[in-house]
Amino acid sequence: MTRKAKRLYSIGAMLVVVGAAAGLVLTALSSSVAYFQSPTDLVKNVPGPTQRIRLGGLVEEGTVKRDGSSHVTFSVTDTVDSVPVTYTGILPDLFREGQGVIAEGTLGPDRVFVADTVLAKHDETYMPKEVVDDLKARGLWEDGKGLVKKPEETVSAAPVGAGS
Amino acid sequence: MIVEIGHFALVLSLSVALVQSVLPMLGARRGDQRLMETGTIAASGGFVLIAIAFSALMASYVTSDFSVLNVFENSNSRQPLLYKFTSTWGNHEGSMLLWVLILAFFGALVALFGRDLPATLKANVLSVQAWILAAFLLFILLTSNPFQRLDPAPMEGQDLNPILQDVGLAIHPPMLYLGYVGFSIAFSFAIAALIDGRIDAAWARWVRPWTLIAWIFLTLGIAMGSYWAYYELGWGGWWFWDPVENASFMPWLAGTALLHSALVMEKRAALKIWTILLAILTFSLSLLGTFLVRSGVLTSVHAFATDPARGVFILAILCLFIGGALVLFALRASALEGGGLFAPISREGALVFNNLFLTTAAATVLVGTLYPLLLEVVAGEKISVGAPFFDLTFGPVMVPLLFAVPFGPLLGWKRGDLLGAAQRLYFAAGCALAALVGILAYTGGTKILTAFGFALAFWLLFGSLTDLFSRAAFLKKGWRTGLARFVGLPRSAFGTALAHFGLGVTLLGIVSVSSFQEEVITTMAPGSSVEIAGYSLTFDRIAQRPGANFDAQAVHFSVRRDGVVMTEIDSSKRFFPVRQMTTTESGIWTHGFSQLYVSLGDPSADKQSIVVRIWWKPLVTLIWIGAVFMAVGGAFSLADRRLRVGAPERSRRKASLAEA
Amino acid sequence: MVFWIVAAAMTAVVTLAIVWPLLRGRDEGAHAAPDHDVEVYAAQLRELDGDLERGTIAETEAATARAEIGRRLLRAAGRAQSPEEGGRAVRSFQRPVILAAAVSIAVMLPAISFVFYDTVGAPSLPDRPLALREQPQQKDLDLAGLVEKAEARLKQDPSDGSGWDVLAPIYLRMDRQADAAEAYRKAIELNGPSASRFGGLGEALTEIAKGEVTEDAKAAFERALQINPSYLPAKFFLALDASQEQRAADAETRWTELISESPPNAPWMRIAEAGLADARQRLGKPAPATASGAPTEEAGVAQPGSPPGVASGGDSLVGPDAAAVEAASQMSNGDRQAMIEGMVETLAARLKQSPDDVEGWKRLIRSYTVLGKTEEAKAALADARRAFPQESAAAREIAAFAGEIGLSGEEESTSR
Repeated sequence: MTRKAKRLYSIGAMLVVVGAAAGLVLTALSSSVAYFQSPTDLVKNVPGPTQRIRLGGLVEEGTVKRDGSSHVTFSVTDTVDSVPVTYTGILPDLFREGQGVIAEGTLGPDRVFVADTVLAKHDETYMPKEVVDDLKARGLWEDGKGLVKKPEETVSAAPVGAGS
Repeated sequence: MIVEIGHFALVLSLSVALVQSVLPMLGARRGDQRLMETGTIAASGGFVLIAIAFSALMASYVTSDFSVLNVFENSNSRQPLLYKFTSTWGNHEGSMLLWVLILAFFGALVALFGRDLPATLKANVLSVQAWILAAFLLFILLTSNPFQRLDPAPMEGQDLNPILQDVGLAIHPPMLYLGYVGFSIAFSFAIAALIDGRIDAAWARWVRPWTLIAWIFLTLGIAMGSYWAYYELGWGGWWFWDPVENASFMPWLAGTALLHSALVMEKRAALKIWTILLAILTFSLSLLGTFLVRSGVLTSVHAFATDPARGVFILAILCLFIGGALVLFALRASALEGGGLFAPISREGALVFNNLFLTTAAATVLVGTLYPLLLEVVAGEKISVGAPFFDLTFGPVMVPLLFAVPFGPLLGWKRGDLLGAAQRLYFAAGCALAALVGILAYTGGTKILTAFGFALAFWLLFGSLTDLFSRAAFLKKGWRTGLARFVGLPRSAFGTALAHFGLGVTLLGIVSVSSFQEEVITTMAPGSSVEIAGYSLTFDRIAQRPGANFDAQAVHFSVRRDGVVMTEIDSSKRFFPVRQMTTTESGIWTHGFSQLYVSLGDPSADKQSIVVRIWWKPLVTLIWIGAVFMAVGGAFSLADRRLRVGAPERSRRKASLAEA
Repeated sequence: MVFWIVAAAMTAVVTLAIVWPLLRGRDEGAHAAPDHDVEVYAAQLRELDGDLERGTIAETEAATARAEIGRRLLRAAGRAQSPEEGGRAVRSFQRPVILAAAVSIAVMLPAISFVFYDTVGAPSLPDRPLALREQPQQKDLDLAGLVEKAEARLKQDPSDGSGWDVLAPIYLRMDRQADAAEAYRKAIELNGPSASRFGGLGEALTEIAKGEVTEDAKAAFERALQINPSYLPAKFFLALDASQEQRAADAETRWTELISESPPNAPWMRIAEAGLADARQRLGKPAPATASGAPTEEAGVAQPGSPPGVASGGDSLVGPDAAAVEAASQMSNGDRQAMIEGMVETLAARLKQSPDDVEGWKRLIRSYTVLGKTEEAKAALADARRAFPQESAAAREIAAFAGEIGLSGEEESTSR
């Protein structure tokens, strides 16, 4: 084998590895990603039963029901439509009514969303980015003000410089 | 006054960095010793100034000086003292200050210990280091100044994010940054070589130990972060393929590749250009990680206060350095000299194989992390790429690499003997086969993938030790001579073996947990018990335990096996009134290498019972113990006499030349 | 001043240290890089020999390695000697150039630092560690001093709207309500109307009137609501006003609205619930079920400011007023005072008109005790006694209650 042939072979081998990896990446991207949808999207276009969805919105007030075990149902709303969600397990510490939430899972045939993962905001000032973007796009959210329909929370002029 | 002195020191350090980014490089171009020397002084001085700034900020945290906005927003006077210290970097501004402190620290190390480096190389490296430093100092001062003041000062602060109120915060970020930022040295060396148009012999000798130091810290930092998330989030997961985690994992993969390619470069002067490219890529990935974490472009479970303006600034820094470095590489790489030749089957070949797979793996992680961003920009569609994607891509890429690991150290340089290496691995292969059969028998042939996973882990464990044992020749020369030879082996041989062994340990933990983990979610009330993995957990009582700045509701469990009490577990939920936040403190019992993990959910409406989630995690601790092995291996390698940094002392120069 | 000395010293040290090497007379000349390579390779050869001696490297391996290093060494040595490669560089700058560089650094480095610092820093602001500020007189002095400074500044430049904005809530907290009202008016005039400014003005006016929402205050709150229809503090005071003026139906709707819009942990929640209950009682409706918001665990969290008798009194003792006081303790001093006093005034006024309300009297007495107004509490107890016939069940209940909270009958009689 000449040096040139050797070099060609090794380059060929590398291309095979990289190509295989690229193939893996492409198949995985087409089969195992989850799409972000708002309740309105989900009500309008019902996805297939196996399509993974990230459902984002606010936990609707008064809809959280625990049946006494680890099974929980609640509704996710974007203030226009809302979708009922069921979940088995422990909800995140910051899961609260009226707060942003992302539920990941699939939409069942009975139009009830079956979540296997529930992510709530991580600290007081955090809202899931997708939820904010979605609400913003539809004029339900303003930068610096939060949810438009939601009233201010402070009592009077806060001590100087408060807020983050 | 302390605050303002810190603030001034930070501004002053920016001016010094600006001087340092110009003068030494100018000196290097003209060969002017005087100008080059300013680099040494500026680098050390800059470090001292940033250290003053950092201490000043820390002092304001410890004394709860709420006239500093950053202190007001991220701490509280009732916090325990340790968290007052760690609050310093428990937020964006403070952690950026820690970031530049470490950057300046590494620059100062080069300045002080680089006496034996060729003067031009050292001057160029220090200038490049100063560019990075100046860019980030500017970023801090303009967009995230930790010294912003409040007047009048509020009486009480808003507390540190409760999730961060943990010893993990004391260890994880400093470690991680030492790793991330440590790669800047390799980057600066690469850029210096490109600017100078030549690679000195000292280049490779320097880059490898520095990369190794950074890699050791990054390994420990990631492992620590993983364990912290594991016990603090209460979800029982140790890795989520979350963008923030990937941001630290990509530099690790690239850094591991760099470590190995630098080895080839040092020993065989081959792969020079590739090594330079890898050095650039590794630090670029570190910068990318910084950008991803702080710009708020991604949704992550590991939150950081985010601000789009900052994101744009970091993006600009990112483009400037990565783009500039790659353009420079494209222009100058061809001017660099190529290196030695080797056959495909050789130590070099094995290391190339390692590099190929590690960089491919890093690329798949990169795609998985950035694809959602790109798709959102291009198509406006929002998707999330999670664990299933990485299981499908990263996993298959790693398998051939892991299989090949034991072969590498057994192959000779230049031309290797694959058959000979395979023969020496008989024992390891036997162990792997035994594991395969054993697991198949244990699971009744249902878990084929698991069995192969265990086999691969055992193959790694024993395969990585094979080199040590065959070099000591216990069998051929008897144990006495063998032991003497074993002790006399170069430390880097131990380093390699330990690091590869650690990889096997981690793999064993991962395979074991993902296949044999057991989980129970149930509602429990005082007196009730639940069975898991042969243990019986009894809910003894629930109690209120107030802490310094929180109230805890703790549940006491006792664990029995065959009626005998094995241990007691406390699991609690903490409520922090200042932030109106609740955190979960999971109760963990470590038994051997396995753990019983108890996490509390919400109480039922009548407060009589509570949702409890219990996991049995067999061999889970091996995941992190393996990382410790890897780091210890790195330390051994670092301690190898032949890897000591720097060239010989000048005084010996004449003699050595005569000797040669 | 000390700060500037320290800053100047730091700058001087750093500048001198950097300039120092430049001031050295002659340049020694750098070592040519290939020279350096020779050293490195020679050292490698020596290490190889060492390894061989210790037996950590095989003879054959050592031979190939030696050959390889030797080759590199020769190449490096060759380069070191060839003039065009090894002799690269060493065209040091002339002394004037270096001196010019030194001077420009000595000027630029301090200049950049000080100018930059001047734009971002606050050199005159002292440190304020908490330990220093916790000594009370110190704190008052500080606050007073700060206010004085701000006032002086505003005297010079009364058109500084943001200055008034800052000062107004501080006045409110320092119980200088008249000044607060004035500052709010100035802020509105200079910075334009905003919900929080009108809200603050209303609060100040309310406090001037000892907790009564006057017509002026009411107008201010209404303006605040016009600007921001969901500004809750204004709603709170308007609801309070309705209660005070005993427009029960209006009060009921206002309280209900406020409760439904407030987050469950809003500081006024307890007061609002008490107000609602009160309004319903007046309307003859059943009181609403238990607290709609705040979960009970939170209620159990003792607030540092709440009187011990309230926090540890157990469920039977914690009436709506005590709860309101507790909730109010989370709010700023001014707000708290205004709310509590407003509530208490309402109650007192109502009892004067319809004194046959045992629970009402008990609430009023407890409120006074909790507020530390013992005299008023005693007076209220006396009023309550007068309101009921001597031997009636109600009178006995009042007496028992007085004993319970420590206002004993004997004390009562002596004070009478």
